[in-house]
Amino acid sequence: MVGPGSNLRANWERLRVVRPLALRSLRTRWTGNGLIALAVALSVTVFILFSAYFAATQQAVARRVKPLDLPGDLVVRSTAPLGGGVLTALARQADVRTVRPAVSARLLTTFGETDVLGLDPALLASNQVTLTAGRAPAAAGEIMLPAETAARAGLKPGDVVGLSRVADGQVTGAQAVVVGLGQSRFGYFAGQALMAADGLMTAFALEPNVAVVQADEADNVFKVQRFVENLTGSGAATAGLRVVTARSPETMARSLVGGVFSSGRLAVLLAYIFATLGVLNVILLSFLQRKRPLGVLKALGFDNDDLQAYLLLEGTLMAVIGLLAGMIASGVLIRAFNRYTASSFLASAGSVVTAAVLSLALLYVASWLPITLTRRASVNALLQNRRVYLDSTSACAQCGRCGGF
Amino acid sequence: MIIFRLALKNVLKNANRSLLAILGMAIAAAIMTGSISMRTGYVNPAFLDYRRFMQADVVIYPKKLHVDPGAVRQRATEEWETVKYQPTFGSDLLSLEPRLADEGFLAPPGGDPDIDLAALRQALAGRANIAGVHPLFTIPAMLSAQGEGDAVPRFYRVPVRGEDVLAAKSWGGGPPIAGGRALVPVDEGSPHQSPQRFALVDARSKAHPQIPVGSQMKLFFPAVRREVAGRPVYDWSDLRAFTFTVVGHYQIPTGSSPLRTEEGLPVVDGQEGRSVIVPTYWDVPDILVPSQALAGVYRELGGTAQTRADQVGISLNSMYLAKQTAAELQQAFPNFGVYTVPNLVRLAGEGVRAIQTDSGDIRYERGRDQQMVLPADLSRTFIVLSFAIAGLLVATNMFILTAQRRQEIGILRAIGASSREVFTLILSEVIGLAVIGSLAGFLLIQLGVTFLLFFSKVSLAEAGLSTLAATAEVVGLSVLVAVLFGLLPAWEAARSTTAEVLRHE
Amino acid sequence: MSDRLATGRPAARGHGESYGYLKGKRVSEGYQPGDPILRGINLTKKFLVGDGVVAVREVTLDVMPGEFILVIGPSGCGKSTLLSLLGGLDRPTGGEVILEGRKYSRLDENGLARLRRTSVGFVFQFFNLLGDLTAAENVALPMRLIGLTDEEIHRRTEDLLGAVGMLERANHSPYELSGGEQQRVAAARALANQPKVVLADEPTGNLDRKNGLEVIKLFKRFNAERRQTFVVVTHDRTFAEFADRVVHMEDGRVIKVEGGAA
Repeated sequence: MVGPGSNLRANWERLRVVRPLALRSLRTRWTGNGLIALAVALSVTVFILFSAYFAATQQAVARRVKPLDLPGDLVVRSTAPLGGGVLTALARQADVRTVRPAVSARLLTTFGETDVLGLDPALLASNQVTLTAGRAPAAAGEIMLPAETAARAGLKPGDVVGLSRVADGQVTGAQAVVVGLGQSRFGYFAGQALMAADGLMTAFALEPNVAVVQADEADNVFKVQRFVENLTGSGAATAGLRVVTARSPETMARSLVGGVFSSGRLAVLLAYIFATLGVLNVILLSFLQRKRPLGVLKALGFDNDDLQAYLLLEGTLMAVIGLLAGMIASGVLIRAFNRYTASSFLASAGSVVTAAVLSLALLYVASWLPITLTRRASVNALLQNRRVYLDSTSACAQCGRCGGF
Repeated sequence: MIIFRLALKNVLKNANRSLLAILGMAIAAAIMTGSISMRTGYVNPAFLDYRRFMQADVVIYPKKLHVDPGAVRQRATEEWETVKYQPTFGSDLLSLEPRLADEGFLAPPGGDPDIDLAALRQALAGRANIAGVHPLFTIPAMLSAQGEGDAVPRFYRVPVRGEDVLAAKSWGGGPPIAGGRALVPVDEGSPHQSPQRFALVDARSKAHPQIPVGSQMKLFFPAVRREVAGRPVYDWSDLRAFTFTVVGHYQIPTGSSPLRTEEGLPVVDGQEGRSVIVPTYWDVPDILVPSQALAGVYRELGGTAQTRADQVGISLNSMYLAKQTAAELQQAFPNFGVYTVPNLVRLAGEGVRAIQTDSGDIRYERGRDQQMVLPADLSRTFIVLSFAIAGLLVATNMFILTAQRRQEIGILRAIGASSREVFTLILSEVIGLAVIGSLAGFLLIQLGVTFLLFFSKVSLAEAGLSTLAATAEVVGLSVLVAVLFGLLPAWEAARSTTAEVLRHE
Repeated sequence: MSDRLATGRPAARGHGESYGYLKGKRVSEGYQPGDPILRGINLTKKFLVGDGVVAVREVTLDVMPGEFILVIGPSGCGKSTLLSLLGGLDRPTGGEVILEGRKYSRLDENGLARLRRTSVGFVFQFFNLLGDLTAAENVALPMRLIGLTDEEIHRRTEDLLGAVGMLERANHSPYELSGGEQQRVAAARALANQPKVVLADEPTGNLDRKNGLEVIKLFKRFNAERRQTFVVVTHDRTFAEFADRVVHMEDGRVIKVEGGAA
């Protein structure tokens, strides 16, 4: 008699009894029930459309973004010096082939304020630097300027430029010879002047704050990236540690789209809240209009759970119809949008399932008040179409400020 | 007429139920008004302080910053790169969003690194709703200041920014002052005599030690090495010293935030055990000097006249249309970043956290960036959505109202009211409730907006006109919705026969 | 199933014979055949309207098995309230109702519902047929509740509708039936689960004289042929001839009892 099995059976029996009743009242009370279905269909459409739009936009934007050109597979950088711990940890990581310390600094120069990147001479000599004049810097005291910067400042190879750095209120100065003009292909560091890392660090007493990492295989880049991200969490690394890979812009694009659409999520949530209120109203109305038949059912021996099952079944059937209608409507709309407008939508099974779960949740939340009223109302109150109070204690009924239902 | 009187009486008699309907309508109207006001964006009072600081309603920054995800399919070949916002751009955008320089941002191809003033003025001429163009010039400088415990003065890199004190008169002054006084036109000095120079410094900035009001401040500016197309190339190896008198401290509030420790734990008031909420401020390193005085400094540095601005502020005739104008400007100048000041306020204010350092000072940390704009079709969808759902609420509410009065309707019919009269009764009730509700919701939001409009020195006629327009929009919309969705319950009520209604009881 | 039916006690669906417990106590105690089947003891009901209206004042009433009782009184005398107290449609402010030894006060709401399902049948003044269902479905509904098989339901429905003379209109909606016809269907529905007692509240109040008389005669026939216990509330004194006992009420009190041993 007791236990989940018998409960299930009891509920099944209950459904068998109330099913024909619920089906019948769907037919006879089409306006109210239609409104429930409409509210559910509306919110489902909104949800699916929004999710499809979001997914499509995110994908399209991510595809649009140009991957970064980097001196290595990964660049690890920090606002503060990296510290030996990070560099050794990186060098020890199994999937890392090489780690080259580098440094990036903002300097005040005789040709304005500029960011200078100090790299391993091996990287500077590689084919990643496109020279328009002169050669790549190889030793301390040599600098390569972006061609555009040099043109603006009126500089050419062989000129001597002054560099200084302000840190902690102290100014340090140095000089360098322009040995070449050109473009680095290091997208992320585009527009920066290039020097040899050691020379730059010695001149301004800098510690490495960039590491250029080469992974042993292209497939392992992600593994190394995860490794560095975990370093940040473990406290072994300084705060502000960041990993940049060729795919970083894509990640940024995705998060940007997410940020833009956060207000859209709020709107969807609002749609659901409003729809819930609407459904609550309709179910409440259906209760108000049916007090007498509900009273008869109670008098005939329907217990509270039977009545609850009855009302819920009726609502659920409408919610399912609304859900299907919403799915069809959003499907049609998505097709139409994709075909006739510049927008693109990408429906996913996940969003459809979520929409289904949300609409059922909506229904059950909205059903609470009418079901509770039905449960608490006495048979006589229902039969005589009297007002029903949420709390039937004398104080509540006596006050009657809410007017009852 | 008796029908309408009855409708009014019913609304009053069923006050509780009517209130529910009114509330639903008010929420809907508030959302509608909110979304319309979003167009103006004046939801945050902090914007007024920014407006005075920026001297603009819309700000144009060099470089294209906005990416419109909605336009992804339209410009199919456009590829977005990651670029960093360089300090040479000279605008104050970096102090609003430092991550633009640190991590870079997604940029569509093209985008000018500075703004050609003459071309911009020409392009703006004849455009509606533009009241003034306020170019911003900054000169980088080194501030020499002696902090507590320093044996010798230290050096701090600061931007020195020109404030248009002459124009500021009509704007209600510059930024809010925390101590001392604001800059006044007389501070511009005379170009013919050796000028005494005056400046404002940020009361909250942690970029350099605090400089007391009334004290002298030494600024070293780099000489202008050469000018290329009206843009200076500074030589930092050749610094010229200028002395300024600090006449006041300014501060720009952004809102408030619970105070947290460096570890992220909330700081709790010892006695009451409540977490401490402190006002938050924008940490601006800029030193403000009168713009004419700054132009004088520029000439002494060896420059002639700047024809290219670091950023340009645009003041508008009607702030009600600020967002719309900004969108038009963005379209006209696709190579620049165009922001409304309210948008900037959000950029600067959102996610500002107050952190108590170990020494007991309060430091402000900045939030996230908002580089993308909401696609237009998405925002249109929101309006349609709130429309439909508000209507649904009205309809269901009216169903309840009529259901609870079936008996009364039956009696009406029994004493000879026609079904058309019952229909009119219910519909006029719906409309009455919709008007009351929407007005309530509308007034709640619009009062705030109007209040801000009033204080933002927009002409009263302009404010009144825009309010009227908004009223018509919202109330008209809600009445339309009410009629549309009120038809069903009214028809239901009119359809019911006397016998059906009176049979029970 | 069939041997249970033979005893005239249908199996309660999924709950066996238990009617529920309240405060851990067994609700049915000490009922002997021959005792009154339904007892109302010192029943009082106050309504919280204005200063408070006392609808029923300390009424005591025993109903013997197979008895046909008529409760008569002017409108507003509390007779309908008394009936809903006896049927467990409402809870008394004071006093106790005992059906076959089961005290109502010890039953929770669902226990009362189950009791009504199996042991009490109701007939109302306004018929209260469910408009969504046909006449036959209305009659079958209580049987579905106790989980009878479809064939059994079908057989019994036909039997009952035949007995009230409504077989040929079985598939009509209540809206298509006249008042008298509706009340006959309602009577069939009340008898569906062979309840211990049928409570009828002004069953003729909404019918003309001829139809009213027919309904009462129908009740009497069931009383005579099936030994079905009836408590009928009416304000029509002319029906007194059908009753074993007539209880007169006024102002919430029993003022006179005619006929019978009590």
